[in-house]
Amino acid sequence: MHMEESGFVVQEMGPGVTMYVWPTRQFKTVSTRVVLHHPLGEDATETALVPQVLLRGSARYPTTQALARRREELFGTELGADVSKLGRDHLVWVGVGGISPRFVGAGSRLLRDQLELLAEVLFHPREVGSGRFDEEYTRQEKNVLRQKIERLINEKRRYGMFRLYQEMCQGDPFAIHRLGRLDRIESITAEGLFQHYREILAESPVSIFVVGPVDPQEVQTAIQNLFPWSKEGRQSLFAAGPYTPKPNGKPRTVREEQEVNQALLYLGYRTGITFADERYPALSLYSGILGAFPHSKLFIQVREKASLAYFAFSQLEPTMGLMVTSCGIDPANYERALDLMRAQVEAMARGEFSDEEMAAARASLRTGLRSIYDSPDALVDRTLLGVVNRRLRPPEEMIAALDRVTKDDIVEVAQQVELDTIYFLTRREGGQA
Amino acid sequence: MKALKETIIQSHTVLDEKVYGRRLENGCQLFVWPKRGFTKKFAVFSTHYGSIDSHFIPPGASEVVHVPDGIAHFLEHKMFEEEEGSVFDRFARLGASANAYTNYTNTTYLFSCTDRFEENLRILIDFVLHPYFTDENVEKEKGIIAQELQMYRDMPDQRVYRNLLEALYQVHPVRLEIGGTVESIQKITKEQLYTCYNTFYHPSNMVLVAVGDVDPEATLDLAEQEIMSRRPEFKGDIRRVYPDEPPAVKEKRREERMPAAHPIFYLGIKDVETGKKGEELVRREIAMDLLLHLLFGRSSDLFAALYEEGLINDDFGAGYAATPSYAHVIAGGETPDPSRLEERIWQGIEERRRRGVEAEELERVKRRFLGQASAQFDSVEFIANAFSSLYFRGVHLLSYRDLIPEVGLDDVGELLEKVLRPEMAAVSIIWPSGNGKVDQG
Repeated sequence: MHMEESGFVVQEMGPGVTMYVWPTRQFKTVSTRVVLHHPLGEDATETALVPQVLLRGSARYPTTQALARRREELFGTELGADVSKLGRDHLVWVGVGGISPRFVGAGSRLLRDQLELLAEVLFHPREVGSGRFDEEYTRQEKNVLRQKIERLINEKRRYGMFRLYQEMCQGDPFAIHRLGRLDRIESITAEGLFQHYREILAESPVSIFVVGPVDPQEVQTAIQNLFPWSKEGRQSLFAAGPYTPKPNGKPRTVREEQEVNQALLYLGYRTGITFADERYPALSLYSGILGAFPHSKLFIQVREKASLAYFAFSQLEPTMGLMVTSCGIDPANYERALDLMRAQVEAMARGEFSDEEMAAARASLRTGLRSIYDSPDALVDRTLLGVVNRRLRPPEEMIAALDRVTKDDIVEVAQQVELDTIYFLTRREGGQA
Repeated sequence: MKALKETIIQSHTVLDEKVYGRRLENGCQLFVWPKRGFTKKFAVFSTHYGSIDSHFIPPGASEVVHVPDGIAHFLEHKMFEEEEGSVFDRFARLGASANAYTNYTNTTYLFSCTDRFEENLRILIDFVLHPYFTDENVEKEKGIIAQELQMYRDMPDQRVYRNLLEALYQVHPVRLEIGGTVESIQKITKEQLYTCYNTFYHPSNMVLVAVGDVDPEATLDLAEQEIMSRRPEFKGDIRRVYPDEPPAVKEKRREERMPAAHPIFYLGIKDVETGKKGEELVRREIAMDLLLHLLFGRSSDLFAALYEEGLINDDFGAGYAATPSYAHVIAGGETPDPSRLEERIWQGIEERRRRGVEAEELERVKRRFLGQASAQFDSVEFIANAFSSLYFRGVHLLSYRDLIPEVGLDDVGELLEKVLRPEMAAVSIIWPSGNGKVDQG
């Protein structure tokens, strides 16, 4: 056991299994998340289905209802399982979280009971015969997954962001949605899915996170006893790298039509700079000045001065080395908004930003980074970002790096940001929503 | 300098939490909730004024004024502009982030920071107590808010909810969109904004809550001085006028077509026993939430059956909203068959009425509520926001948790018997229009 510079107590629990414990009295809850790192690929749909089926029942709690009742007995312990996408990693995670016993007058077994529940769901799913998920559960969850994917269009802002990345990164695994594809659902079987689950469980690198008022030694012992990890055959973490553009790639414009009241404009940029890169702090400041905050250029120019939009921002995709700028506008204002959005990026490349703008971005980034320590979820997410990018880069280190960034560093970064794709979600010409 | 007001400390030994409060001479209420070990400091300054307060008698006047729908939210936007520029810039120089939100009953201004808390707190008080509206800046805001409203109109979950409230209520302003409509906001003028501001943005109608690793007495002293130096006098004569809402729902069924993946079904039940306040109101809310969880939660028989039949999916949920002037239950989500789901929900409620609620299951669910209500104290944002919203409803956040064990079988049984009645219900359905498929390349 050793303390990393990140503040986590880090321990190798076996080949490819790493545990990060953040012991603190600051929180009244204990949060535990087990994350399996699977490469994002053709099997994304199957992978997405696994956590859904796991939440339907375990050997001891064979239905969603039985699991829910168990959670109620454990003072409303949260139990979740899902997939998320981080760069080219398809993360399968199971998490529990809940109040620490003394704040509800419960016995000290509560933490162990919570970990047991997590182990039940992850390692002992309801199995029919041998090597097969429940047929009914699988059928029902395939249906729910189909509905979840179809439902993506209900949230236009998130849908637009996904569509931009999909258009931008064609052929790269990053273009795959975390829920997979509709046309892959049909062929999934209860048996094949169980096999897939077994493989992910046996082969994936694992990160375990525990945050809360715990004794690291105690948690490690409990987890060692409860989690039957296989001893070998586990892969090590795969390397990340920035998205590399297609050769001769000129900016491409993609227009999609739906019956919408508000049109959404997205500009996708390649930065070539990922989270582990030495220039990443400069890139963060760049995006901070450009559009990450309500004092940034995009908000002030597009919203406050031109009254074109309610939201206008820039956002980095740190694992892929990408950046998106976006705003929501009246369809008739497309040209004006596009020009204004691009003009801000061009101004950045010419070094047209003041010391005040730089100071404000630096201060806001610093506040955001320091705030990570106040949320168990944010702590885990931030550390995962570091794990996937093979460089932990804890908030304090990042803050120190931001302090060293000069105006020249930002301009240098600004000059290598390149527009790749424009995506516009709008209504049919003359159409009414 | 006058002597400052006395501090009242309340604490909760099991939760290990403590709150410092002070009531100022001008009627303003201040609270500081220290959170040792937290990096972030978070404060809200909130006025008891929301979208439903559209009819009122301004101070010194005798006639009821009716202002355009959406004005409370419009006013919130405009508070961020000052003679010297944007309030965001003042916070930005200190690395703080500021924001605000308006709901049916309150408008809340907030900031979050890690450093220079006192300076940020001064800015918060200063800008909220300092209106600056001009014809030009009011006009300019209309385009921005119009885009905000258009954004909501494209969200099926928002539309199904809006339509439901329009169906449930005949005249109560809760039936209207908080931000108003693209048309209604065009009528808003600088003079109307000042009228609303002068009526509702007085410290006697406001609460300030600061949460984080701060010195409670010093923070209270600072806030007291800043507020008293700007608005020393007491003014407690806000006269709000709410229309008399008839018990019956306006329409039984509202249906609309828009781009959406699947039909969305919301069932609303109007609770006509309004007029409750304080702990009585909040205890009723907890009892109803417990009942709804027993009926529709993941641990219920009904949820399991509906899910397995494919009538609902992970999107399904139920909740209750209660204020002194309106209250309703909403249950629903995506479904392939709204009519069948409606029928099955009522069957489930009827069956529950026959069977009743057992002590054991109520205890189990109360345990869940108790644990979750305690877990929320890990978030400084939660504490500040929940504190101010509960405060306006007459309940202290520190006592909220202890209301849960007080709910008995009788309370839950009475709500089941009296409130969940088909004659008080309306439904809202969104049907998918043709266009709008996921493009997966």
